[in-house]
Amino acid sequence: MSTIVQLLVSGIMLGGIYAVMSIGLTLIFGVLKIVNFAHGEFLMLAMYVAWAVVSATGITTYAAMAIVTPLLFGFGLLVYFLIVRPGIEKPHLVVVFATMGLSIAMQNLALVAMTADLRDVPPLFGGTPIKFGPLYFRLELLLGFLISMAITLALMIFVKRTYVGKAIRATVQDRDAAMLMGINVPRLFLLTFAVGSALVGIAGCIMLPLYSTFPTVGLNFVLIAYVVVVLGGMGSMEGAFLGGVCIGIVQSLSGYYVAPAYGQMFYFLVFLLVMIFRPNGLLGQRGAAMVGINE
Amino acid sequence: MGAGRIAGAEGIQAISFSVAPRRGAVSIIEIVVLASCIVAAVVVSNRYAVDIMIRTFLWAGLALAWNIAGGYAGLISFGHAAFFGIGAYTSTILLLKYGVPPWFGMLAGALIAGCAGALLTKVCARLRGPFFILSTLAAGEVVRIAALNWRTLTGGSEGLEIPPVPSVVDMVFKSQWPYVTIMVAYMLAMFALSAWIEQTRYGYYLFATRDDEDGASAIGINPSHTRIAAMAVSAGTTAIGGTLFAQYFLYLDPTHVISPDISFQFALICAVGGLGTASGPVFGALIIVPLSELLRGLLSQSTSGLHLVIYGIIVIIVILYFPSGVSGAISRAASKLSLAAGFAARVQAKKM
Repeated sequence: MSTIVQLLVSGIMLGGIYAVMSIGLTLIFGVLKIVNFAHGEFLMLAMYVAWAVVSATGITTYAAMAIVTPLLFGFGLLVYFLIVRPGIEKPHLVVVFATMGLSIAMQNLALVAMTADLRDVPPLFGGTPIKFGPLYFRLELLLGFLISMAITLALMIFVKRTYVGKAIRATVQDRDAAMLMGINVPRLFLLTFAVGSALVGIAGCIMLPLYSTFPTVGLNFVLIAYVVVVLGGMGSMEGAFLGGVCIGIVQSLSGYYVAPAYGQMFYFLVFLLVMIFRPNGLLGQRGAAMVGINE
Repeated sequence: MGAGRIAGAEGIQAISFSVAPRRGAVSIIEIVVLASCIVAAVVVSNRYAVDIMIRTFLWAGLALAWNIAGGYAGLISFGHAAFFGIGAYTSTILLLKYGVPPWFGMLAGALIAGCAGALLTKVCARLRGPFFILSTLAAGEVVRIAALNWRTLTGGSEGLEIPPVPSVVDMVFKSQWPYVTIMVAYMLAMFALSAWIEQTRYGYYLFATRDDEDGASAIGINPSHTRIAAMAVSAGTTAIGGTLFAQYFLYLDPTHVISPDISFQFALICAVGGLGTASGPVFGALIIVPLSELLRGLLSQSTSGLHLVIYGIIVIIVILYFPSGVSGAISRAASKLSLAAGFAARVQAKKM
């Protein structure tokens, strides 16, 4: 009994980590209606930058967030101007292929600059798990989960309560109508893309104590992020959190009861089943998957 | 700024950025390019250069196969590595375990991959745009992980090795020339199939379904059947390329053969060359494969991976600034030339 509770709790926490790395993707998708295929490489960059900051200054990765997040925001602006803006007026395949080219370039640039060695930071707090009743937690995982929840809540409040949030919701629902209402949609695209990238910066800082970074680290995680985002409903932030938790639990349970190697297969199967039976995800816009968005 | 243009662009443009396929005869440019490649392969006898050519022809054929789904039907698949892997593994397992020659094994692989492709398209029939793309990516990953863990069948991560004993029956050769012949034949067959599709009724069905599904069904086309057929043909022909890959490299492992990178490569070759045309994937392969191999050769001493950085940047630039690909750019240039020629001729005629 305590095993299953432990597995569930670990799964939920892992899910929080997955949610935070997916939330930028879902935000960008919801507003710009594009899939950033270099999202994984953004995460890789964030983890490398966090690693560099931590090794240079000796502060914790959580403190490094204050440096990494603005840097990733800036990187998001740069990518928006160089790649997304020239492509967004063209059919959606242009952005798909261009971000894919970016992904290849970034991955290999990291390989050239940093070699294929694994980079990690020393575990915080001596790396010992903390005990809570019969349950054990890794402190980094718990912290990551709490930060992830805080970010999701903050974003939800931002989107529901502020004027910019209202503009974002309007653009998600109907871009043309939003533009007719005087919303500066191109400016909103820029802002969303940069904020989405900044969120990846936060994710990188949370994940660095848990995973090593290497040039192709993004690929594994980005596949999970796609699954999470689609499961939750593309464009939905609550959905991303829920999707992350679901995938975390699936991975944790299947890793224990079936085999770790098949854990990945399970969430891809979950993904395909969701796509077949509930293609808009758990909390997505009705009909989004069928319309095909931005075609 | 730019606001109005965004709104306009979204409504008007179709899924694909293909140039309208030319009906009728294959253009002279294409024949010249194809012929000169084959002649070049015969003239050059440097082993390294011939190796690059073999890869180029193989990738051209594979990109043409991807293009049937991705370009003609608008079914952008990032899971084609699964079909490629199914082809490679089916023929290799049949050869190693049952002694079936790959000449027949590849047909079995094509059949299995074709069914898998049809099934995938059938279950994902309602999905569009990024949803379809991500589903194919996930399907590819399922096949990869299955191949990685089904050790008794696939040998897992250790992979499968075809014994390098030359034999015509087993499609293993000592010399490179039989491989050149096979790859050229594969590419030409795929090119002919693509050119044929462009001119048949079925091709028109595909374009209609891709560009306007509602319109297509209104005039009596069954979009779902059309798509399933396109994906099945594309998957089956990709699997044949997979068998040829296995027979040339004589080694298979899931991480390299069924990786998403392979699927991305198919898509990027088509995108650079020009989606939805028979010549696009050939041009794309002629540019990308030798380029990345040569860059690899030139730069590998200094730093590994630099050639792929350059490759990625080239892809970005081509996609953003030549969205109809190299073949689109060539046909535009050709039509400008012929316009200019026509104008000159008219001026001449007036003077006389």
